[in-house]
Amino acid sequence: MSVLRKRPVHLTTERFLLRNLTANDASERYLAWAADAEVMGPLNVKPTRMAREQLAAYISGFDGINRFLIGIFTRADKLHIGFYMVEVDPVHQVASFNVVIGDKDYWGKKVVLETREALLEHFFEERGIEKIIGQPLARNIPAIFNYRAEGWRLEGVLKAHRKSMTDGRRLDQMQYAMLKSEWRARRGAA
Amino acid sequence: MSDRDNLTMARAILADSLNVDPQAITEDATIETLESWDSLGHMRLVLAIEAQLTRQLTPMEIAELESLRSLQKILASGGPA
Repeated sequence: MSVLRKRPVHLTTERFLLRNLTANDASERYLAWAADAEVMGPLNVKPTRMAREQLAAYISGFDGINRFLIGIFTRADKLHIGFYMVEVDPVHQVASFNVVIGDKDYWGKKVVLETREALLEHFFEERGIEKIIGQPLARNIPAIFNYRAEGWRLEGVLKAHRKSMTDGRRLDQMQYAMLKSEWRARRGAA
Repeated sequence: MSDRDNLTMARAILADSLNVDPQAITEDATIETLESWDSLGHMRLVLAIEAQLTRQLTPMEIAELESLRSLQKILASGGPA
């Protein structure tokens, strides 16, 4: 199946809705996450105070073909609580996932475990992806927990692979991966 | 410290990090079998181990921390040389 067709992502799980973000989603909530060191620090992104227009332009930069910015919303009240960034290499059929849960009330609530399952299924089965990777910093402990709990395979530790955006230290990074065959075997065993 | 002591300490640290009764943690407890083992509990667990050992865990130790037994093994490895 081609990975180049522009089709919006629209997925539901038991508690959440996942869909492409649009410029209209540039809310005060989202702006607050971007400026919060506790939210952005684990991603090695320097907290930034942005204007709503800047955030809207940033969101619009995701083409929905090879670069996706996918919002996580509660199904009950449509509250925006976080987002995934997904980048696709269409030649090699590899995608990389990053996730931010911006609303701290949802930390420790297994949001990632529930929603990433749906995204894995979608990108493997609907968009022709053969391998998906995640590259959390070695000290992003909640992220590492989630990769482990979800059955991703650790491919290695990338020593001093990143420069800290806050103090310049060299940071180790992990690489986790899931192959389509591993996903299917895991799903079949579930 | 004996294996039994390490196991007792591991169980106490895990129970405290996950806010559960130590008696509820069986010797074969893992991320998959303990419902209360979530991402925030995991972060508290890593910080508690590091406080106990007075050193930072290596990336591989963090990656391999997935059961009571793996926690016991990390504790047995000890603190700074």
